[in-house]
Amino acid sequence: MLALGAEIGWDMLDQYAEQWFDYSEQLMISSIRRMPAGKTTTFSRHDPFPGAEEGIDVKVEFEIRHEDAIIEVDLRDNPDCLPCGLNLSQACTESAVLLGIFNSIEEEVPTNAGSLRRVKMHLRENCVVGIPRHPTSCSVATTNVADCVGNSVTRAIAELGDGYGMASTGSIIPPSIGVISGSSEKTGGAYVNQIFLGWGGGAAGPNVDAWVTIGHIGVAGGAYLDSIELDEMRFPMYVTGRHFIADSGGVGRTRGGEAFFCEFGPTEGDMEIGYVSNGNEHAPEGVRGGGDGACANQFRRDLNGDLHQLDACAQAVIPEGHTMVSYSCGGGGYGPPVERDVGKVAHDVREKWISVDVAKQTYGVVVSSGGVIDQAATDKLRAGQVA
Amino acid sequence: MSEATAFDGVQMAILNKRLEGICRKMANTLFRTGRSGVLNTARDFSCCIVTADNLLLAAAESLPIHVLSGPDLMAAAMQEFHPVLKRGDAFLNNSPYHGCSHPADHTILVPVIDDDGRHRFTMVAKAHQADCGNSLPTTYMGGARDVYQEGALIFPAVRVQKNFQDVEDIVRMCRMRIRVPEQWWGDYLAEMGAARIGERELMALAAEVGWDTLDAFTGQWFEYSEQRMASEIKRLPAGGMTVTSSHDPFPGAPDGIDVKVKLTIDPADGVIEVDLRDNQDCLPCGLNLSEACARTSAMVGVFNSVDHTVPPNAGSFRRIRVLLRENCVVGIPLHPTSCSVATTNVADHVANGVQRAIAELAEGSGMAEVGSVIPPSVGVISGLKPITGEAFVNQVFLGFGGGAASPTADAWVTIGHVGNAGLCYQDSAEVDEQVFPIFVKGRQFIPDTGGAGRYRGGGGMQVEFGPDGCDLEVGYVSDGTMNPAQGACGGGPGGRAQQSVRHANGEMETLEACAQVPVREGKTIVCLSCGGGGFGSPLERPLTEVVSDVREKWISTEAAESVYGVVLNVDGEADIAASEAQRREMVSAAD
Repeated sequence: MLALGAEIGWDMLDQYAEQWFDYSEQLMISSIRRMPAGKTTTFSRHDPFPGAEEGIDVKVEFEIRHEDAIIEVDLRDNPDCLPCGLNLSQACTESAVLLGIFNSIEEEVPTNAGSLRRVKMHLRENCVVGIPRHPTSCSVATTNVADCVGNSVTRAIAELGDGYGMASTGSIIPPSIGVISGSSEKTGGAYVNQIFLGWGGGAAGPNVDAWVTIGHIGVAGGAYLDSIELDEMRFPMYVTGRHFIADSGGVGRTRGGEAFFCEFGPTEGDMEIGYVSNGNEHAPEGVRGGGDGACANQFRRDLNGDLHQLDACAQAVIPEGHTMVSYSCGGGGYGPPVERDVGKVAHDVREKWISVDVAKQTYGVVVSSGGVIDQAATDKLRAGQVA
Repeated sequence: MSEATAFDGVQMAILNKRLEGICRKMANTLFRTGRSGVLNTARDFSCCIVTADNLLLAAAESLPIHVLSGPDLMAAAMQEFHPVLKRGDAFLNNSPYHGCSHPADHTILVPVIDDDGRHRFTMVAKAHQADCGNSLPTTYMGGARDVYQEGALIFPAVRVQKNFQDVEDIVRMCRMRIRVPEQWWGDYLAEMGAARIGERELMALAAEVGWDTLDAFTGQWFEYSEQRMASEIKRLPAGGMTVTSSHDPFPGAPDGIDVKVKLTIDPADGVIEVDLRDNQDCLPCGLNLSEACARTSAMVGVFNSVDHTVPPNAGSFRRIRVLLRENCVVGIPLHPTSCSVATTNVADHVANGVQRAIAELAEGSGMAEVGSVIPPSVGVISGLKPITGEAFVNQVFLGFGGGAASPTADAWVTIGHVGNAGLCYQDSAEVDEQVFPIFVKGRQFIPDTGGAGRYRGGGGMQVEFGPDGCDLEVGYVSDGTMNPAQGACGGGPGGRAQQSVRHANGEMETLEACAQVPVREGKTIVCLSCGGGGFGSPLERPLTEVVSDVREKWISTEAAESVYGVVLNVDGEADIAASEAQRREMVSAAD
């Protein structure tokens, strides 16, 4: 930065910043005016967790106005901060709202203080999605409840007009993205690290299927998935398997991302896995007739192969020889599934994203497991489903 | 005055008292300005002076477990991390891996720098905090498997003042991570004030007598103290023995902890050696000793067994050889071992083991065991005050007894625990009730809970208290519910600790020995602290003293007869003939 300043001069940089902000604001204004104007209220629910035994219903009051080109978001009518780590920091509250909006704005609008001038937010102190007061814990502020805010915003925009917004992205953090720890000879003592073995669950957009490996709405695919082999080299662990799960993405005109299965365990000593898996009870919502994504789940498999249900928010101990069986959430679908292009449904079946049964019953497409379409049967079925 | 100057006894006594007087001024500052009850009511702090080469010089009115070793190690860590010390610097050290006793004992170190920029002494103010940012509202995390689960903020000799100004970054960190930050801030200022008062006073003393005189005095005072200790040890018989003192099973220590103390008295060389190396490795709980507490607890046992006028400083310490090993529960812990409870529970077993071993080896020396702690009556209470919703957290000192009997006297009943040596005050029930939303239903000593003996152990104290208008949380780590304090030389054990909750319907439910207990409005905690061990056979206790014990309700009529062999008549006087017969019968039955 000092080198750049030396090259072109600080005054030039100051001047540029002002102009760049103004330009960004102008792009934002015209982008907002192309969106559907209106007012709506959406909800997203976080599962019951320790300290939030009733779950958390996040309410987003959302308005797009053309006259003054403003998006106004009110989060004040939400519960007070809770005695748990799920509360949002002010940074995460504001960012969650903004990323929900920017997921629905043309990508050429620069995200900076200029474009942000067109977003008006109402937050309140001591609110679970607001401005926390010390000593409220915000340990999990970047993911779980923040995702509820971001998802509510994208769905609000979708509700205001077809072709806009998005469905809900899958909730997290499943054990496959948990923090593993223990002690082993391999690591020369204690080890602790967050692994990224697998999560899916992208949200369907108005025009495209989900980005399956998005991670969660707030990460926007920015975190890579780990190589199994590298993880196994680094830590005393073995990954039995990981794969997407058929029929776990929300159905729709555009399809939600599939959920991820992952099974892994320690090869030397006990392993602790800390995770905070939202979406065990409340599925990520589809929009405009799209279906919900699959719920998350997690089990410990013992030496006999028997599965034991684990809590959604836990610091689980997996003894050597046992494995963690982790299911991440699927993402929500967008639009009625019967409107999905028949050729795409056949492709989905061929690629094993969806089963023959779901293709027929939900999408109204009669197709063989090899992807061969029975056009006549499909036409008849879809005519009946639409009626 | 040159370094060769020899001080006479009077000069030495005066200079020593001047230095101790400075420590007292520091202590008075802390006591009068501390914000939390643990400082301004219970006085759980210590102030001392360490030399420039990190040797303990003077420590008046301090808790032994706080100061014998620790200030020396902490000052050494300060010099290691900050080779250039300037006037106006101050350092915060609460790291058990860098010389502190345990993380709750925030210690302020102020290097005293002369006008030529030379580091002369270090003033040390150490105070037990009401809260230190642990993961639960208690300063005793008995069940913490490591320092991370413990949660305390650790400051390994971190600079907190430069040019007499606070380093605000550190202050902000503490304010974000220590409960009731205003209370911490008040206590920080009190400690800093104490250390700065000490610095000012020492500068004034040096201006009066000269730094070289102080240095010369220091060397000679250490030599005098060493000689006093050597001659004490030379009076003891040669010999060695290994005693075991056991801590109860606790979370992370399911089999309990047998502390083995191998003690050797070498009167020829005038040295006592305490070997603690043959003990188990560090455990995944908060009971592990810091190096400071391992060294100190061994020395506490020795100082409790010699003439009390031997000055406790680096000179007399030269005659105590403490052998420790790394990664040992009573040794030198390796990070990230938790030492949250290092000043009391296991440390007390080391000190008790040492003084009991000396009692068994040397007639007329040593002591029985002091009762174990920390019962709920001395626990950390926390919650939200009714109406205002204001948070509170603080250690209360509602009652602990359990002093140990010695070869020459009955126990000091309110000693607290062996490492404390009675330095902490017991709280006034009324003051506690004014400050906190609690109600103290009663507190009293319980008859027959002191160890029987020629000299009687201190009784256990029963306290009942509960919340007043809100819910309360109480954290405690009560050792001695299984293993009582042992007597010495034929003395009996003290009574065991107990703790229960009394429900609104009066029903009693026993509580875990190491717990963080929520107490809802309408319930009370009922707890009994340990008694101390007795010394010598109870059958040798004079009849008149037993009669007095019964009259004062320290012991029951039944115990007088069955344990002390003293039969009382209807007037409460000893039936001398019947008593003598009873004692003869008991002696022959014992043979």
